[in-house]
Amino acid sequence: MDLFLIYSIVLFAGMFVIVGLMIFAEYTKLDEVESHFSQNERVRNNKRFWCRNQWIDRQYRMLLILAFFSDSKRYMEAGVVTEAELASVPLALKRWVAWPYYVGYIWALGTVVWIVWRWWCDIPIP
Amino acid sequence: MAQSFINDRATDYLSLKSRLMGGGLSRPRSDHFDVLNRHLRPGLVAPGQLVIIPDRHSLNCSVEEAWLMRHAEEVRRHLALNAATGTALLGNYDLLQSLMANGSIGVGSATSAWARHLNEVAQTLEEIERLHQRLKDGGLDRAAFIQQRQAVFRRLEGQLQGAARMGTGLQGNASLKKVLGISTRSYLHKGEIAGYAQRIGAIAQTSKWLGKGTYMGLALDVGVASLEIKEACMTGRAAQCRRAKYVETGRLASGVAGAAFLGKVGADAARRACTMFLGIRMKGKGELACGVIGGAAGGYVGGDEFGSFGSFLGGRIVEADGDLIFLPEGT
Repeated sequence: MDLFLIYSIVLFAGMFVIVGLMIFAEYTKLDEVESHFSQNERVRNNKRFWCRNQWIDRQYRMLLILAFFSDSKRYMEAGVVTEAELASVPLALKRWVAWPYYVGYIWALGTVVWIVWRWWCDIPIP
Repeated sequence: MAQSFINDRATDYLSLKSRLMGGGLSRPRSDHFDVLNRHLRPGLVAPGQLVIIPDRHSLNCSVEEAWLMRHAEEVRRHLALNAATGTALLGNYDLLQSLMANGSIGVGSATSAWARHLNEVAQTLEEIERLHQRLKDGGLDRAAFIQQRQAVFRRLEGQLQGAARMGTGLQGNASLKKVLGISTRSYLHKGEIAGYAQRIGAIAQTSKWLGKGTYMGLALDVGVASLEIKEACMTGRAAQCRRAKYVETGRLASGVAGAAFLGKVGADAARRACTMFLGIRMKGKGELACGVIGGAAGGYVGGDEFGSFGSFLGGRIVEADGDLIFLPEGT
């Protein structure tokens, strides 16, 4: 089996796993993590805007929480979120929010490598 | 089973017939073809016309063939009204298909955000109506009413800045009070703002339909995949038809999952970039717009590139004696 094919299979399977993890976190962890920001104005406004509880609503609600965790210093300086609010979230919950996205970035990079590899070696798509 | 396909170029009837039915055609089979395709002009068959290929095992007209004939006649009538339509459609078929495909999550992301925006506008309008109601019921004095209504109007103005008015039906540069047709005196007299309920209803309806954008996009993706399979199965050999099934199914499954994946990552990446360059406290809904644009772009690229993944892997599956085999060396 050639290397490109192995790489494609790993990337293909991994993508489904990551999407699965992201959706799992959005449906099982989001409400819990949002409860730690129940007094936060930005979270409340965002939740009111994305109120229909469809997958896309949960996605954009999760993205705001992820922004707080991944860019916490900047958000704290702007007064959008407090240190106490961020500290109140258990570490395991933070990981459920952030890690699927961090792995997702690696996979996105892997996709770029796949595109360049295919283009470089002129591998045809049926 | 009878089949049909859309003729893609101007061709003469007899050569089309011999191409489709093969040489040495028996008289009854030839007559069967002629009966089914009597909507085609005897000389030249125009592009866009529906051509029916009869069932090779039967000479009797089936219900399915009758159904196809009705539709072929309908297509002929439409083309007769505008002969350029067929050529234009065929000329842009691939472009239309590429626009339709891979767009599901991207389209869904953008339309869903707009749906939520319209929802917010409708909620603000309802709030204005509730204020009038409270004033009428005596639950609010006039000074408090004016103060609260001004605050709600300011929010509404923010929600309707520039292009954000699209879909609300609240056009024009006049004051919101005039655009909405709000008159406190009239409300106190009649108990309703003229046309207000219909306006809110119309906005809510638009929002509801836009909110289904993802499902509409998904339906288009599924439609495109089945079109591709159908096309291969009608014009190609059995092997090409089988191959198209694996390739297109792989493309669809991987494309949809990939669009969801890159849609999420793209939304986050765009939001990060915007906060980095524009700051956390962006005006209005800047951060939201960045996320939605990133999500839509990521969804489109993800659908396209991961679709290629799926078709690449799907193309390596072959069927031998009823078993599915993954063929790593390629075919």
